[in-house]
Amino acid sequence: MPMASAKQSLAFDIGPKFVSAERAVSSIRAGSRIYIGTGCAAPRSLLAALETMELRPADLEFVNFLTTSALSQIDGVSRTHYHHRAFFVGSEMRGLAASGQLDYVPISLEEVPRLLVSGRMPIDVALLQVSPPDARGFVSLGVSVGLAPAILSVARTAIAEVNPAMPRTHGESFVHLDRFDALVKVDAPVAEYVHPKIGEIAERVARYIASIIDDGSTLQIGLGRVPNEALRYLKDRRDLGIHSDVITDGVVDLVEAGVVTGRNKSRHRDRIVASYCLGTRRLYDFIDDNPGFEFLPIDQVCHPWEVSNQTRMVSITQAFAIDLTGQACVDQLESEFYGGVSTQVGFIRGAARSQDGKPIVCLSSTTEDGASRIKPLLEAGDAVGIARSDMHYVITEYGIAYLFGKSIRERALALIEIAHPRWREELLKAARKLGYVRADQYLASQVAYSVDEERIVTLKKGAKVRVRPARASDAGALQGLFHRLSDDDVFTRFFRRVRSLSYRELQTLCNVNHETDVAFLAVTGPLENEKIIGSGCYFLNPTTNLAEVAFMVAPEFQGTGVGTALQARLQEYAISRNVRGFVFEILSCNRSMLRLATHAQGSVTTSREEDVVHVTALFPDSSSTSRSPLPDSQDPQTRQGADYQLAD
Amino acid sequence: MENRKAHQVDEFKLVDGHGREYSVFEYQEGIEKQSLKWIKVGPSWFRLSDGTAVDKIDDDTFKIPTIGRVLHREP
Repeated sequence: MPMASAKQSLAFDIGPKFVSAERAVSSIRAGSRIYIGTGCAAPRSLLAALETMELRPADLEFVNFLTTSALSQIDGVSRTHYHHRAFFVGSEMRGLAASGQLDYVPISLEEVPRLLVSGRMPIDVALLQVSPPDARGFVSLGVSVGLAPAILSVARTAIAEVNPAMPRTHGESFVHLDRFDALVKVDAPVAEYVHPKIGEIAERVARYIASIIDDGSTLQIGLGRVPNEALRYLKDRRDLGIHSDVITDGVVDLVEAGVVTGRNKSRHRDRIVASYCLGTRRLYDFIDDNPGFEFLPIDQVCHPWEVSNQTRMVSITQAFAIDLTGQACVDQLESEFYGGVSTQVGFIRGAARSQDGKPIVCLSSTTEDGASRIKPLLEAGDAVGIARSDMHYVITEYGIAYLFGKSIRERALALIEIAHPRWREELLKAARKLGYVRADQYLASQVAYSVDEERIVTLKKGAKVRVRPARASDAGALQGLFHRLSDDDVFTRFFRRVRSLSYRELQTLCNVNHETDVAFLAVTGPLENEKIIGSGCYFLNPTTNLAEVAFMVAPEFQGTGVGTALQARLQEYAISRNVRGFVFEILSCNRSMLRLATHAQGSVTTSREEDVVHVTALFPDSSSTSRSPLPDSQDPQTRQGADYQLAD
Repeated sequence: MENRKAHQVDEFKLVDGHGREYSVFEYQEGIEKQSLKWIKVGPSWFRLSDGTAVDKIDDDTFKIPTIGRVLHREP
């Protein structure tokens, strides 16, 4: 490890400050409140000295944000003689609640420095772990700047472990030795943290997250395992940036792959900004004396204003549970404190206000016991950590729901559609009972929305549209498409004048079972601002095994290939389900639809009854179904929606 | 879904010889397919908004039989 700076001769005498850990902590008075460094920067030898003192000072209280490997463990349970006050209940702190040794403080982390400086949470002693000093006497706070600058500005006494293994990080990481009252030499590896391996479900959530991260985005990853897993699926992106409370080893992979450049960041361009890191020696070596990283105080990194000033800011937060209105639980589930408010609110609000920003909350649809994490109501003992008014994207392994600006009915439907299929009927029943959805609301499909069925299609003039399965929650947007149609379009679609589609009629066109009743939509725009430009559906007659097909295409997209794309997609879907063919009922005046129908795949026959032309297209045998239904020049270029493709 | 029923399928304006405008509604017996397409299975009939019957003479000409008034489509 390059630690040359530690070996430089010092221009001042620090000898008297170096003492043993036991001696350093012996001056701590009973009743003191002691801050301990965050995460992998916890001063383990100082803590051990306090724990093993023969005559322990009474009524000490430790304050920490997050600890890893700070306390000794017996049978996986932390052991300490002291009381702890934590802003985040990690695995080390969790067991202390039962013994009454833990006070959890729910607070946005960027607010803590203000709490400290105002004197509302006095700190008597700071215990930190730092790098060796440089020739001018400055040590680095290393892997954790976080709350340390604020703590050092208020603590009466500051004691530091000086560890040559601690990387020397750039940013606002430097503190002069003068600030410390005592120093303790340690020569031990800096604690490492590796996220436990995640399962297949979390992997699918991670892929969905990655699917909506655009080139040039700046990411906040958070502590969750799933957001960190999402980093693995970003290898094909370009010019990503990092502005995150915490960074992990996954960032190193992306920097080395040339994916993270920070080139498009609107602040701290070309730099990775973080407040602390949790990782392995590989990460520590990478950040050591690396000016590409700026480690800044937590209130600078996580302030919503700072976050909002990054364009395309993506914040990823993992939640324990969410109710049907969009309230998420992040720090207390079933009365047990776990996790914390941490930096989530600041990042979610900041990302929401960032230009093209995306605040994302992710969770697996069920707990390990199989209970739904999407609940009709949060229960007593489930705390709201993220307000529903702050909720934008919610991602489970069953898809993505966008809630911001949506009504309770729309939210409930969207969330039920990304719930585990096993729980959907029960959730719908509860939503009806609560009055969240209409009494006649149903869900025709009990299977998961399939992203694999999405296609990106290039239209004749080069515009790209997404052709995707319709969902029950598309009813409102489908009504919007209907109202954009001309009177003539409506007449040729429905064979009568229709002023408005009733809710039941809209549901017929989008809330389908995807087996006998199938509906696809052509949409433009990002997920949060999708516009439906075309609708195509078929309804199978099981007796004949022929499906009746109908389309609506927005006037501004008529003649661009949207109808062709929808028909091609419906055909592909129908053929894969062994449907024998399509039947079309078309008014004789509707020439464009006649042209489309008669170009359907397979053998086409037509007959006429008064003004209605009946077109029957029998699909060819499966051996020849790959033939394009249109001449090459008109064939829309279709491809699997790679952005959304789930290998499993 | 495909039960035969009567349904209003169109509405349009007609004018009499004095330029007075009438709203006329066309009804049909038919079936609504699952695709929401309306398939006519019987004759059409016409009514004014107050329920007065209107006879169709040809595509552009109608008559209120009770008062013998002839109506035309607006040019």
